[in-house]
Formats: sequence, C-alpha cells, structure tokens
Amino acid sequence: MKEPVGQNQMDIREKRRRKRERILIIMTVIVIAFLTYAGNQFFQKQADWGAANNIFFVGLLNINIILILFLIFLIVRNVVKLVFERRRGILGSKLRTKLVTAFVSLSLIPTVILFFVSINFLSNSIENWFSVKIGDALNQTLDLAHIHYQQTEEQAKYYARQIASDITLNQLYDLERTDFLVNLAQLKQKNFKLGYLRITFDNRDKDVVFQDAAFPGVPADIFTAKVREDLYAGKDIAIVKPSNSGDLINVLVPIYSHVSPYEVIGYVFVGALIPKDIVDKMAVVSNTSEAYSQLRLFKTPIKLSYIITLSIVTLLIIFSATWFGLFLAKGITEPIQDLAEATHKIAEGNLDHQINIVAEDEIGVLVDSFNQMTRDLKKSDENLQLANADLVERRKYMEAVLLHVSAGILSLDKDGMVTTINRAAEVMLNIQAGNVLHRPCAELLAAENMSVINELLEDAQISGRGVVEKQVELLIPERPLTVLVTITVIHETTGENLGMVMVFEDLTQLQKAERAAAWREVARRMAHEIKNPLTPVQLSAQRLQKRYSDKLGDDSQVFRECTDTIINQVEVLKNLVNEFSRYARMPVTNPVMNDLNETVNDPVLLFQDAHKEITFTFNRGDGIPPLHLDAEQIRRVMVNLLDNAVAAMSKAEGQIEVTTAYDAASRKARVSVTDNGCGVPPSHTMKIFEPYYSTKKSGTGLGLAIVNSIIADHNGAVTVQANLPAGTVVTFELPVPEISAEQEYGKQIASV
Amino acid sequence: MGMIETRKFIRLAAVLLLSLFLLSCAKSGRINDVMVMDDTRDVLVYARLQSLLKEDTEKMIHAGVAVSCTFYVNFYQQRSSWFDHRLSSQVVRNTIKYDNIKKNIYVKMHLNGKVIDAAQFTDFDSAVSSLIDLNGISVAHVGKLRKTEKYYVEIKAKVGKAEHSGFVRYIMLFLPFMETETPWYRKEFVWKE
Repeated sequence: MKEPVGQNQMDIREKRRRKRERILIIMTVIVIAFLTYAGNQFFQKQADWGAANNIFFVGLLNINIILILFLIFLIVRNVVKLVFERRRGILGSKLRTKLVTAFVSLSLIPTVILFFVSINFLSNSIENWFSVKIGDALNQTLDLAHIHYQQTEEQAKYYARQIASDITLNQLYDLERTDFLVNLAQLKQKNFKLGYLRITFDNRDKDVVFQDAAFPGVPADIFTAKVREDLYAGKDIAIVKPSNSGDLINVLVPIYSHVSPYEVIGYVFVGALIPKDIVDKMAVVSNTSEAYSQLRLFKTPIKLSYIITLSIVTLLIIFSATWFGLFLAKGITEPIQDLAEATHKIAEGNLDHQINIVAEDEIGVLVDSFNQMTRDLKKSDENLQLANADLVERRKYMEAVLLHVSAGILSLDKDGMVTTINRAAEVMLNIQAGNVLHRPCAELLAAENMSVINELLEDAQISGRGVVEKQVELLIPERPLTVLVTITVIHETTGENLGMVMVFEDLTQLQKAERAAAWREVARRMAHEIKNPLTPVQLSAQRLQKRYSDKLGDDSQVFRECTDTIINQVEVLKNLVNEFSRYARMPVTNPVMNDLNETVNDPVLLFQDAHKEITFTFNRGDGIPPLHLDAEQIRRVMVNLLDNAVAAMSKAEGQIEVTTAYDAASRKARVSVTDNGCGVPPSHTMKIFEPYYSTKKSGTGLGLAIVNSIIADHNGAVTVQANLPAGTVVTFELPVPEISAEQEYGKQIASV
Repeated sequence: MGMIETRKFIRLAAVLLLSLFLLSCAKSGRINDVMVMDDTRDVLVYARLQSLLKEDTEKMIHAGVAVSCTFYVNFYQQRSSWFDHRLSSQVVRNTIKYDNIKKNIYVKMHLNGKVIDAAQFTDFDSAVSSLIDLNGISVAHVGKLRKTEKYYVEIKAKVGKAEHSGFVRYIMLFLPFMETETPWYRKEFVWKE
C-alpha cells in the first residue's frame, strides 16, 4: 500500500522547517554569545570612536535584545505547539512534554537559585566595596599625600618669600650689591636645601641661579602669560610639574622694590623635588582612590549591568535547556512516533513500509530490528499468500473433482456435523447442501435410512481399519436407491479423530444393467435350449394324433384331447420362447433426428381406435426440439407402456393421459403415461423393469424390461410413480443434444 | 513559522532597531557665542559650549574620570554651482582631569592630536569654563582668502568621557555612554581687508 504523495511532501516540508528552526536557534545562541562577548571587549577597550561608539554599542545591545526576543519567540512557539499537540492527543506529545518539563525543571531550578544567590552575593559584594571604612581610609591616605605636597609647596613658598624679603630689605637688586645677592642666594640654597633657586630681576639680563645636582631642571612651559600676569599682580605662584625624577614643585614669589613697596621688580623661583618613588606610591593611592570613586559613582549601573549579564546568561541557559529538551524529546519521540505509525501501517497491511531513521543508539537498533521484522513479515506474508493461492487452487481442484465425480461424497467432523457435501450426493440423496451443511448427520436422511447409515457408522468406529464398505438399499422418496457406501474414519498423524468421509456410489443403474444383461442371457439360453426340442415334441404329438386317434376307439377322444393339449401348450411355449428370443435379440438402436410428438402420436391414435371404452388424452408439449431417437423403438416403448396402462384398467371409465414436455434447464424431453388403473405397489417399483415380472395373468413380464432397455440405449431414464389417488405414472426422459438441434435437423433435411 | 510570519518579524525587528539607533543619535546641548574674525593674519574662531555637560559630570570629574570636549571646526568656501569647498578642518579637543592628590584640575588643549596648551585650576568652574571654550582657533590664513568670495564656518561639539581609570573599565558592562554632541552650527564670514 503506497502512502499518498501529498502526505510525503508534507512530511518533507515539516522536516525541512524543523531543521531550519534548529539551525536558526543555534545561530541565534551563537550570535548572542558572540555579540555579548564583542560588546564586552569593545566596551573594555574604550576605543575613542566618537559617535560611532555610541551607535555601535547601542546597536550591539539592541541586536542582542532582539535576538533574545527572537529566541524567546522560537522557544515559546515550540512550547505552545507542544501544548497544543498534547491537547490534540498527538502520538509522542505526552512523552515529549514530560521530557521537556524534566529538562526545564532540572535547569530552571538550579539556574534560578544560582541567579538569585549570585545577585544577592554580588549586591552584598558591591555594597562591601563601598564600605565607609575603605572610603575613609582612602581619603585619609589621599589627604596625607595632599598634605605632603602642600607642605612642600608652602615650605618652598616660605623660603622664596624669605629670600625675596631679604632682597627687598637689603636692596640687593642694586647692581652694586650683586655680590651680596649671589652670596645670599648661595647661602640660602645651601641652608634651605633648595633643589633650585633662581632670582630674576626685570632690569638685569642675567639671573642668579643655584641648582642642586639632583634637580632635573626647570620645565620650559611654566611661564605662561597667565603666570606672569598673576606674578606681577603680586600673587605667589606654585606650579607642580611632573618629571622623570619626580614631581617638581615650582614656586614663584614676586620681589618688591624697597622704595616702592607695591612695585614688583622681579621674582624668586624656588624648585622643590618630590622624589619619583614617593610620587609613584602616591600615584597608586591616587589611582586606587579614583577607581574607588568611579565605582562608587557607578555603583547602581554596575550592579544593573551585572544583573543584566546574569539575566542574559540565565535566560540563555533556560532557553538552551528548553530547546535541548525539545530537541532531545523530539529525537526520542520521533522514532517512537514513526514506529507507532509504521505499526499502524503494517497493521493495515502495508508491509513495504520502512522507517528511515539513522541513529547509532538503541533507537537505531530498535528501528533496524523493526525494519527487519517488517521485511520478515513481508516475506512470510508472501509465502503465506503463495501457500494460500496453492491451497485455493487445490481447493478449487478438489471442489471440481467433487463436483464432477459421479459418486456422492459427504464428510463429517468429529462431532458428527456435516462439513462437506458434493453435488452428486445432493442429487443421489435428494437433499439440499444448504439444509444439511453444519447440521448433525442424523438430520441428513429419513429415519429408516439413517438406521442403516448409523449401523455403518458404528461399524466404522469400532472397525480396526477405520474403513467400512457395504452395499445398501435406501428409500429415497418415490425412488429406491441401491448404493455402495464406503465410510472412512479420518485420523490426524497424531491419532486425533478428525471425523469421517462417506462415499455413496449409485449402483441402481448398474444393477439394472446387470439384471438386464443376465435376463438377456437367460432369454437367449432359454430360446436356444427350449425352442429346439419343442418342434419335435409338437411334430411328434401331431404324428401320434394322426396315426393313432382313429385306432384307439373309445380312448381316441381322450387321446385326441391330450395330443391337442400337447400341441397347444407347445405352441404357447413357442410363443414364449419367441418373446424371450426377441428380448435377447434387441435390435441395435439407430437414433436420428425426429419429432418426439409425432413419434408418440402414432401409437396413441392406434390404441385410441382399438380401445374405444378408454379415454385417451394426448397433451402435446410445446417447444420440444428435435431429438436423436430411434422412432421405431420409441413407438414400441409407447406400445408397451400403453398396453400396460390398458391392462391396468379394471373399470369402464378408464382414462389414459399421454403428456410430452421439454425441460430447458436440464435439456431433457419428457414423456409421461398416466393411467387411473390399479397402480403398482411401492415395493414393486424396483422389480417391474426386470424380465418375467408381471402383474398380469397372461403377461410375459418382458414389456417394461424392453422399455427400460430401449430408453437406456437412448441415454434416458424411466421412472415409475404412483398417480394419486389411483393409478400409475410412467415417465421416460430423453436427453436433448447440446448442438443446435434445429441446425442438425436442417442439415438432415438438406441431405435428404 | 511560515514565510509571512518571518517577514513580519524581520520588518518589526528592523523598525525597532532603527528606532533605537535614532534614539541613540539624539542630540542635546548647543554652541553659543560663535564668532569668526580675523586678526589681519589668521581667521580665528571663538565659541562656547552650553548645556552639554550633564549634572553628574562634576561628580565624575572629581571621581577621576577624564572628560573631553571636542570641537570640530570646518571652514568652507561657498560655491553656487558646485559643492562648497572645504578649506580646512580642525579638531580641537579639551580634556579635563582632576588630580585628587594635588586637588588641582588640569585642562589640556589638543589641536589635531597635538597638545597646544595646558592649564591648571583649583576651582571647578574655571576649569570647566576652560574646557568648553574654543578660544581663537585659526582656521585659515587671510592671505588665501578673496574679498569676492563667501565663506562660512561649521562647528559642532561633542562631550564624552575620555576613559575610566584602573580596573573599572573591566567591570563596567552595559553602562550607558555619557557621550553627547551638538548639531552643526554655521557662521558666515566675509573677509574685509
């Protein structure tokens, strides 16, 4: 049985769609993971891409969100589909639901617990990061560093102011006091341990500079316009500049004129160095403090970002588990579904169905075994069909044999129920198969016949060979039947009784033929043995009468009477012998095409003329086709039958009815001679066709024997039945040839 | 999922993505006091950025986040029959950074990637004022200009964080960027000798 093409195409489309969906889900998960990673990396590197930065990041985030939504859509769609499949009771949906539920539960519970624990843990950790103690400690450390810078700066300013004050008080800006200025500067640089000291006047080209060997040098970018402006406005300037050796604290203090105290005429530049190792240590503190401040500033967003990250990961795990559950469940239930469908198809008789699932696991083994089983089933089925076909052929052959066999065959099961009966048995026993099949054997025949059969059945059961054969006479309604019954008990090879077979062979015709042949032989011998001595006996009697009748005197009368008796009785004997002789020498039948009605009509007319006291009626049948018959012999048959009918009449108002008819179904022409005479007892119906059986006083008993012989030569049959309420019906049937009789008749006419 | 549903989903996603993209490109703040003048040698541009700094910018700066304010200055020659000709393009980037030890605020000015000025402040307002000021950037030599031609300056500003310090950058995921920018401002200039 082939599957519908539409169904196949739908299956292929569904498989392709599912494959697409699987690929889509996998790709989505990969893209989400990649984009999350890329976003993370990108954000960490802080590439200075300007506006593109923003757009890219937002885009990345949004794509991620969309992909997650898409993933949710796909998963939810699958779950909803599963729910609907379960509601509709589709095969495998319950198992799939259980598996998906198990997977989701197994992943959901720990994931959700882990998620909340992580969030809680993270929140606590973040809160702990920004504890007051740490913040204070960092601030204190920063303050310390700041104080160190401040003190260094203040100290530098103090020294610079002192030097500037000395210069102003002692008017060392005068050119004449340059030596004093230099000595002061050198002394102060040494005393104050200044890294760098420079005294600059507006009216001098050269500055007084003293520098410590470890001092790295003054940065060039200190003297900006603003610095100069502030300086000449009377402000003390302190500028911190980084260098390779550490941070330089550059202090500039204005020098005022002694004469005009508000006039700035120059400045003292003092440079102090904070060594690099200290600066580095303070930088570490500074960076840590900065990071801490920033973290505190972004505490909520950081927490949020972690929650988002954890949520995405949790969602991914849950969706992946759900999808994996769906996928795995599908992987398990699909083969089961296919197996169930395949079982259904095989149950419907489609043994060509194979499951196309390639799997390495136990499902694969199951599928292979199933396919192998289907192939074996198909092979067995084919063998069975062949065997069945063979059995059907055999059965048909047996039925044909049973149908065409002349013997009646009847089988009984072990309970005595009729299981088989052939056509010959039906005709022979005058029963209908429909009335006796699967009925007890006791209902097969009339009680008087069944007693005979039952005896045989009992004999068969007790017989050691299981076979009984016996000739019996059955009384079928209106017809005696002589049959040879053979009963065979059937046994299984294991000895189990399967019932029995009864074979009926109709010996009635054979018996008739045998009797006829025997009587002909008797007649022939009688004719031969008796006729020969009769003539000498008759001649001798006549001679005795002729010679001695006149010579015996008074006794001559007696003598004459006696010899007359001898002569007459010999004559009677001669007639009898002649009849026997005629019976023995029945002429060979020479059938040709003849009209039955015409053939029958002649003797009827003859008898009508001869016996005016009897009413003869001839019912001419219509549509009787021409028959193969010997007209002379059929006329003799009719003469014998009419003679018997006339002889049976004991009353004046006798009626003899001759009827011809044609039975198209059996293709037989029928002639009946019905009288209302004394009739024939039923027990004599078997014997009336035998020679020398007669109920008439003067009959030879050969009339019906001759009738039977002639009709048998015409392949017909003679039956005798009682004519109710009185009389007898003698019927003979003649077969109508198969070929178109009209055609043959036409041929004969043409040839004539 | 049928083809129609897939198309609908793709369209919806595209619309959503575009909306978010446009949202992310939303601009705020403005540039005031744009002046273009010449000092007989150069064409100088002055401008001041207003309302682009967020409320929490001060907190961020004091927390050590380096914030930058970048001015994009393009100088065009107007042409009636063809696209305008860009004579020069300058990128001035001012960055502000707080030193939590020295309690100073440093502002550095970069012109086309090179540091051209640095200033140190102790008060926040002065430092921010220095950050958002574009103070006399030369966009062209007057010798190259013609009296008959029309010129204009296009200018826009963008404020964003320069970088986070230390390990903060490694733990900050999905934080919103504070980068914002103004639209382009146009100021005509006619050179008169």
